[in-house]
Amino acid sequence: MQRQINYLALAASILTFVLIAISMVVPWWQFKMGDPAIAEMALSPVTYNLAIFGTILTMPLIYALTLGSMLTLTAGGIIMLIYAFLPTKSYSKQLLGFGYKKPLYAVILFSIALLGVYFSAGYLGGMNVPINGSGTMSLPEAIGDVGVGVTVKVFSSLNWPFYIAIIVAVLCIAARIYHRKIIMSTPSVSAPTNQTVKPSSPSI
Amino acid sequence: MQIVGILLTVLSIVLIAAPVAAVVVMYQDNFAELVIPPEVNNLINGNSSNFIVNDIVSGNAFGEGSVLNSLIIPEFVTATINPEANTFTIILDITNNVNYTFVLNMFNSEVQTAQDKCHLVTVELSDPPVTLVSGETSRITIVGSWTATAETHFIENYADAITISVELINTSIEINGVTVALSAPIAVDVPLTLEG
Repeated sequence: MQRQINYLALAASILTFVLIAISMVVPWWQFKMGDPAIAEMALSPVTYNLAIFGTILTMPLIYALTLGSMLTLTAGGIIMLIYAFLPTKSYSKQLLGFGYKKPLYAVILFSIALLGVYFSAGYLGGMNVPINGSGTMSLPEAIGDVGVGVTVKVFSSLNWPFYIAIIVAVLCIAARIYHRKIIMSTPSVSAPTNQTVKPSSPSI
Repeated sequence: MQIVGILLTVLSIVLIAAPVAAVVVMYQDNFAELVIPPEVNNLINGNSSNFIVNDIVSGNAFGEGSVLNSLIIPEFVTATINPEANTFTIILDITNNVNYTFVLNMFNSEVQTAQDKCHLVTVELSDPPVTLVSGETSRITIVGSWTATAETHFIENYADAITISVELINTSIEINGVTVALSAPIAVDVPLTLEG
């Protein structure tokens, strides 16, 4: 019997590994304050960088979360790769369920985090933090003394790995949909048919 | 099949929980450092070596020799006056003790007398931008000009004075894209005997 391969899942898993590797170097989102920047932040689900006045700040909890996210994405890619070659096994659906959700969760949670930063900075701090683009951010008077107005040039960008992640998530969803087609097109060979044999009439 | 599902669920939890648990155990003696960067914590505790090139703090952060006073140190060098053009030039040496290079793009201010609020001069940075290299002293030139009205007012009221109390108003400074506009006046006593 010809082996079935879910090529969409195969592409999604390979692209997941590529995405992880790229995200270690190129962040999904960058934010800079000042020109030249006096504070910089680079974020992705697998790494983060925060620097003020050229000094890199380390936050162990954030590091642990990004490490966990990277391990989760890697595991998702591996499981997805296994599933891609074994789409018709009895446990394939569990493998697919584990693998296709990870990049999707990464994109959704990262987007929620960005929106959270945007809205919390706006409503709580009165600061307009751009998601993508440049602008000027006015710091509220509460930060400085009365009679001091501070405006800062800011620049942020959603980089291309973020859009690659969206493509990966779409591929994963497509692989999930294609799985149904594979199952429907696979002839059932799992359970033997129960045949009742009528005893022959005795010949007289 | 159920076992596979359970194993994968456990794997999902372990992959996130394990690194978090590891750092929690590592920082069990100081949970604050989990979210507060050690560099910021050191700065709060008076250790500014991460941000300041020459840590010349003596005493506590709020006493003499405080960190803030040691970040950027201006030093007057000389001043020249051109009476024909009604302009003057002030040269300052700025020592940047922050572990970062700044670019001074703008400095504008208006000077008025503190007593009767008469506008005297307008000063600005000459030849911007000026790079304040980390750990080094950079020279900046401030130029200003005065009007005939200001000159007359000065001669009538401060010709015999040793010092003049002035206020810097509408002061704006731009460094590295950060613009600080001071609407409150800055009081300065200027000695009227200048060298150079």
